[in-house]
Amino acid sequence: MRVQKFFRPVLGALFCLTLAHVAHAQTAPKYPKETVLLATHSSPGGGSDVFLREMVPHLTRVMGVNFAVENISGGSGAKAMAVLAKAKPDGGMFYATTPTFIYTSLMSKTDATFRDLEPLVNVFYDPEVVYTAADSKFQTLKDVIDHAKANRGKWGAANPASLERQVLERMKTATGVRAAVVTFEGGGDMQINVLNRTLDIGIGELGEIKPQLEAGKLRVLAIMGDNRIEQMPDVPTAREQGVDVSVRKFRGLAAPKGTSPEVIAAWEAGVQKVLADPTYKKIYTENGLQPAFIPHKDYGPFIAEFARDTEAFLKAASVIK
Amino acid sequence: MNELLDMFQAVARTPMIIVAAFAGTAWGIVGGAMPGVSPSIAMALLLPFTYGADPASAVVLLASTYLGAEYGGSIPAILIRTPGTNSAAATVLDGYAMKEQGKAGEALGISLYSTLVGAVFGVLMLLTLTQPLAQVALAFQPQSYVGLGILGLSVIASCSEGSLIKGLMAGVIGLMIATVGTDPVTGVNRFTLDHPDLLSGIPPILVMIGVYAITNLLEQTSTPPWVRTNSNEARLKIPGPLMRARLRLSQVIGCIIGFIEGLTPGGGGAISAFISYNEARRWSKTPEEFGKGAPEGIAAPEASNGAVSATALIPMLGLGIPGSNSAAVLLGGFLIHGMTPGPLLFTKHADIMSGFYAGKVISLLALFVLGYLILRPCIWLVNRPKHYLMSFILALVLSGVYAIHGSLFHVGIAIGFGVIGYVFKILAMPMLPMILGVVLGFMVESNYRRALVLSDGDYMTFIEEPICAGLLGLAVVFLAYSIIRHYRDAEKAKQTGLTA
Amino acid sequence: MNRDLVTGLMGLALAIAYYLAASNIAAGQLADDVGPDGLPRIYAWLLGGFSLVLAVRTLFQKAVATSAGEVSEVYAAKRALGIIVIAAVYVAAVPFVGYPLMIAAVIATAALYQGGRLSWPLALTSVLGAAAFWYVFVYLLHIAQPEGIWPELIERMRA
Repeated sequence: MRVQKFFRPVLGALFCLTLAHVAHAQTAPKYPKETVLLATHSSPGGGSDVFLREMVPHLTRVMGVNFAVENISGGSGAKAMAVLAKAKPDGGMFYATTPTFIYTSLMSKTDATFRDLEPLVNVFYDPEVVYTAADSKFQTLKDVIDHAKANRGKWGAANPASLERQVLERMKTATGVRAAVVTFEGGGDMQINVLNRTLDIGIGELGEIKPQLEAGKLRVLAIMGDNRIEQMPDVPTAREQGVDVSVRKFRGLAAPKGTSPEVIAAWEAGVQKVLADPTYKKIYTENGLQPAFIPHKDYGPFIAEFARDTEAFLKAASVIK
Repeated sequence: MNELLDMFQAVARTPMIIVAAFAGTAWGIVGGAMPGVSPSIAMALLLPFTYGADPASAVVLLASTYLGAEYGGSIPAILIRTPGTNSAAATVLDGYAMKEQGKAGEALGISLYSTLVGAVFGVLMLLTLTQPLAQVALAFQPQSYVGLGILGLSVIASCSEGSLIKGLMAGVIGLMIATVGTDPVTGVNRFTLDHPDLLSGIPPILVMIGVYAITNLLEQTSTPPWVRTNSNEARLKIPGPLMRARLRLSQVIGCIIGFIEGLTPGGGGAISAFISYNEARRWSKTPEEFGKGAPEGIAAPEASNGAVSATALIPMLGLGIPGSNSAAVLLGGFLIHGMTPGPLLFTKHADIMSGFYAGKVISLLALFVLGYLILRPCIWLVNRPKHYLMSFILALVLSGVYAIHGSLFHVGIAIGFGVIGYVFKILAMPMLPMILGVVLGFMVESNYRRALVLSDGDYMTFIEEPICAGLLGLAVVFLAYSIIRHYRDAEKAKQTGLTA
Repeated sequence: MNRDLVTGLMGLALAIAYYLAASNIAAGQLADDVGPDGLPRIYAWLLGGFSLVLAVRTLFQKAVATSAGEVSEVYAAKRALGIIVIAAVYVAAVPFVGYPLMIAAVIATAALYQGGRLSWPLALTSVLGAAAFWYVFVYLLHIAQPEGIWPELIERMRA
């Protein structure tokens, strides 16, 4: 609700823009709702919150619809999923997806799970990177693995049961080394421990470590995705360094079940257009995000596959039964 | 000089800090003036409102309330012989005597002036001492945090009024509450009863609102209505130069004792106020006047109260150890905004801390201005029928707790802790140890296990790491000292009991 | 009964219940040596131990006459129960009745319960008080306090 007040002054100006836009884009069918609520479980300033809030002004311009961001925090997404599952499928409300909503669904008995939502489209990959202190002796991922083979590695992930933890555990299995995987309460706490050399390496999103990276206090050793990233073309992926682990931290949207094909089509067009928008492109590139549009027909299977992998990992680790 | 510039910049960035300092002080005076509403309760009632505010204003609001309440408590102490807060109990002795002599306005003026002197001294100490404590921040490893947490928990020994064993029980119960939620290492759910709202644990702030604000409300149901004040008597007189000179010695005594009590967690305002009163009498040339309306008898405890309201924040901010109920609630205010008091606070949130310090300084000015202006409206409010005041406080708690996370479940948890707090009172269990357990439990457990993962299960790591070893040593010394004091006091009480 | 004995027995009961709950925590392969149930078990032992010491200690102490205090304490607890009931009813009913009405009801019933007389001023205070609360929380602070069934009801009546 706080958000609406924030947007009120902008509405007038947007209204004019919208009129102009509708006049131009007569071929596209009109979106059924004037105001669309984008919900996230992250609190103001958190990853998904920032993702939505920075996308909204550009999306408004492209789609000719007003957007408001609503933070439904509580239960790591359990509450937001419950609200979304019950919302009307009229294109009026969507939910920002991240791996978190799958972890929460799998790990606790929530009222609604990711299965009760319709994956809409994907927007970004948030690249996970492995980093170390700038003054540490590790120059490549191989150095880290070799060290862990000879001694005992000390690796850090931001949260206990998270995608990041999963990556490190997989890395451990893939290379067969002995390493202590230590978890923290968020990326900030872990960074300190990388900086003061308690930990050999940490893993996190690129956007998260940006300030320390720019200050020259951290060094990125590997990209944990399928490809190198635009922001740091010199840094090889883990696979290139002989560690066969890759992960895709996705950021997209989910809708209530039963959303009409027209609404879905409008979003597919809108998201593709906004990703190509030069002003927005500059912003999201700076934040370390990679555009990764996945259309609706592929996004459902994508989420399902991700969930299967995660479930298998959690079961193998006996975190869940 | 740099800090001063930072403070100016912080205020320029968020001018709300000024509003927060004044609003907090005003609410503190009014809240403190209501018998039964202690500074911690006044602050706990405000907590929900700070959620929507920017972090700097939020913590300034709470800290100013603390200061305001320390003065506010002396108003009913002087006017109706009922201390509004525990720490104003010592002020009753000479304050009410002065009022009987028709010098109520003068007594109020001395109280305001002395609180202010104490607070100015306290804030200066806060500004100079907290950051050196936090200097070692970056060197803190998981082991060091374990040492810090244990040092914090050792405070339980000194804040268990009466029974040490009950204090220990309360502390362990607090630790148990802190284990609810997602496990910090494996991520499995513990004690969540499969309820999604419990996944992220029980927020300390709900425990605080429950055991302070709601428990107090429950207790008030069976206490007699408050005595009314005649507002005509209350025309505040700021002491003149002669009187100021006369008060100097007692204020210095109050400041020093308040400073020491503030630094050593667990003491709290009430004790230091009485010690200051005693010391001021011992050093006075006219000790026989004490109890019969001696201005020094107001000045010493009030100066001490003012000093404590600032110096109690030093261990809270620098180490994350709340030594008093009020400091614990202020810590809750920091937590709401994602700031964890402790060694890293000043590194991670330097700009907010500058704002906080600036707010602390502004609140001194606010106390001076508002102490003068707000007296009459304050007395008017306190004179409202008690059943209205109580019903509005209940409505405030119910609305406010919902405002924190928009969850009725959380309102239920707060009410539940209100009941637990009430049961604690009936069983004569001390409350602060439980709060300490809740606040420190997660930090101790997660870092303890983290450290052992890093050391491959070697317990020697806690002694080998120098910061941890030092803090553990400090904890042992502190523990030994408080246990000795505990039994010495008990012995003393037994002896006086026999002679009486 | 002796207060400390009661405290000790309650503590012991809590320790046992907590211990049983702790032994149900699944450790899993991601677990460290201490495990998610490690410290909880220690806590349970500590609480149990302290409680036992407290309870046993009372057996060696002379009985203290507390009968005079207990009657008024029972009375006080009964009085306090009323406020708990009011608060509990609020939590249960506010999703349906909505915030403005319920908060007015809380102010009125709590004031009556604490010894206020049923009168026009009391009714007026409750209504004005509720309006003030709504203004501060919903209007100024933008907190989405529960609206109750009313919006849906109105929508249905329109349709």
